[in-house]
Amino acid sequence: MTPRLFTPGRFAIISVPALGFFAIPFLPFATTPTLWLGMPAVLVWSAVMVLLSVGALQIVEVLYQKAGGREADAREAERFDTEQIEQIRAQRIATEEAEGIR
Amino acid sequence: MILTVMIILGIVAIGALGLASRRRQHSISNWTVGHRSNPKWTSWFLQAGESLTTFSFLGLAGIAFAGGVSATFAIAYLTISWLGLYFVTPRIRALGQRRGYLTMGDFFEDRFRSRWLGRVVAAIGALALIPYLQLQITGLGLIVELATGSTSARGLSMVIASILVAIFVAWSGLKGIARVAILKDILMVVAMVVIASGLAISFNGIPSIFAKIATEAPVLLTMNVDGYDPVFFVTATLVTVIGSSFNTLPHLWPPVLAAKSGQVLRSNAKWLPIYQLVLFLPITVGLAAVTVLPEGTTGNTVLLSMSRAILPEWLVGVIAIAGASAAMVPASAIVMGISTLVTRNVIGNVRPSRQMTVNYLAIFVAIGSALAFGLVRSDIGALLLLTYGCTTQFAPAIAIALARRVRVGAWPIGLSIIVGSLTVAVITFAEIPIGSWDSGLIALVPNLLVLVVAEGIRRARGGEDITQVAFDPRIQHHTAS
Repeated sequence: MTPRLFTPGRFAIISVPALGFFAIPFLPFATTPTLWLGMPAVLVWSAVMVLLSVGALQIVEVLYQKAGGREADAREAERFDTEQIEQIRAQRIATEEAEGIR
Repeated sequence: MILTVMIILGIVAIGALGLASRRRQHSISNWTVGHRSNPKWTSWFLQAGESLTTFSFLGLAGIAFAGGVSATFAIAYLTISWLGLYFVTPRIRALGQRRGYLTMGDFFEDRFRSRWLGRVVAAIGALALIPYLQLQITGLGLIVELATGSTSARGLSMVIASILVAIFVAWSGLKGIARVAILKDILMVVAMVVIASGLAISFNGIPSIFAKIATEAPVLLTMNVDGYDPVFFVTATLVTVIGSSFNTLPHLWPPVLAAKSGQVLRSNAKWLPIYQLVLFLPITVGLAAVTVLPEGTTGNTVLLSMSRAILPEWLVGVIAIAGASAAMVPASAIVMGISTLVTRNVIGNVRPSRQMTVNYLAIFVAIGSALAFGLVRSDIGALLLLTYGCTTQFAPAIAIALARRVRVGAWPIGLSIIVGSLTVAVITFAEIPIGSWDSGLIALVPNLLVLVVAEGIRRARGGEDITQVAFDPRIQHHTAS
């Protein structure tokens, strides 16, 4: 069984930077002209949210790997080549048509 | 004249790089997704294609010029989209690998077990991409015209670039696009660094630009600019995040389906937000332009007008070539997206031996019509809203189809997409005033209402979950998902 990548806990982690972006227009530094270290505060905040997004995804990846993602990635290495996949698709469509379910 | 020749030669070199393949691709599957084994960096450059486009080059500096720091909405939506794509793209790739998808239409056809639904989605997707294709070609012409000051160079560059894109896409498929995408991203980063250096030298450092803005046009450091208010920021970001997170633009499917593994896609999604930091440069250029260019300057001309003001001519040429590549790469991906949707789903049932012929025909018709509209300068600004608005209507359906069990039927899905797309079309063509709201976001309301009501009726009539057909004993354990 493949482990789930999307879980409520992981969604909560990535929600932090996402909400940080959506909140920008309502934060005090976006309603009055503000410079931080000579840069517009909105630009600085956005840059921090970009970096926070990268960090949040690193955490999510570690959690997924610990929850069985590593083994799932190893199993995924067994792949079909493109022509094989095309044949499999043709078989599937033929089966579905024969069963009258398309 | 020398500048024009330099830019045209640059465009030809970009096209030649796309063509640099020993063999023509003969099968539509290899042409579209190669061996489904793209490694990390190939996938990276193909996926990053949407971050650095003509919009980054022309549009973003223009928005910063008119709307100030509200232009950061582009950084917000592109970054948040990667948070969603981290979860969505590995699932799409895994299904595509097991079930043989080449297009978004294949995905709909299989997950909802309905050929007509795949056809409807493909038709809407292909039509919605045409304005986006024209935007790239028109954008390329504008870049050349602004750099050289020559109207004839504009038309010539559009024709040459369109022919080259059509030929290299037809010949090399995704592999050719990947090669040009790598060059494009290198050129774009070089161009942005050159412009930033020019600004820093001209203004005695980047902070002094913002200090000047704080005294001359302080409102641009806030989100209180007319037309670029909080409603604009939140709705524009939200609708684009919904669309992008579910990969609703059909031309973005081949790079995902061609990736070697879900791990590759997750790894790219983890790091690609960093790319958005490059977009601070066009925003800075747009803000700096407020202190240099006249107030009524057209938004799209800001970045190149500033480049001409602060850089030597040959560096303007380099920037124009980078801009041209930023148009040619998305254009080639869009052409591939349209042609595969038409060949595989809209027409369907084409014999394998004829598929590439039909595909070539679709390529030349798509790019030919986009070029023709671009040359007569048809205004497609409003139509571009159709691209995003209509494709966003696919998002609820894609979300439903990604689940392990598909619980909604094809009819409710098809009906909701058609109602959502028609709502976008009515708002766009009837020019219904909607303020700073986005038509795609508004259309999601009737879309979801129809979906819920139609599915309720289907269930009341005994409709059940969609069961997937097990078709290969070696991967039988996967087919329930």
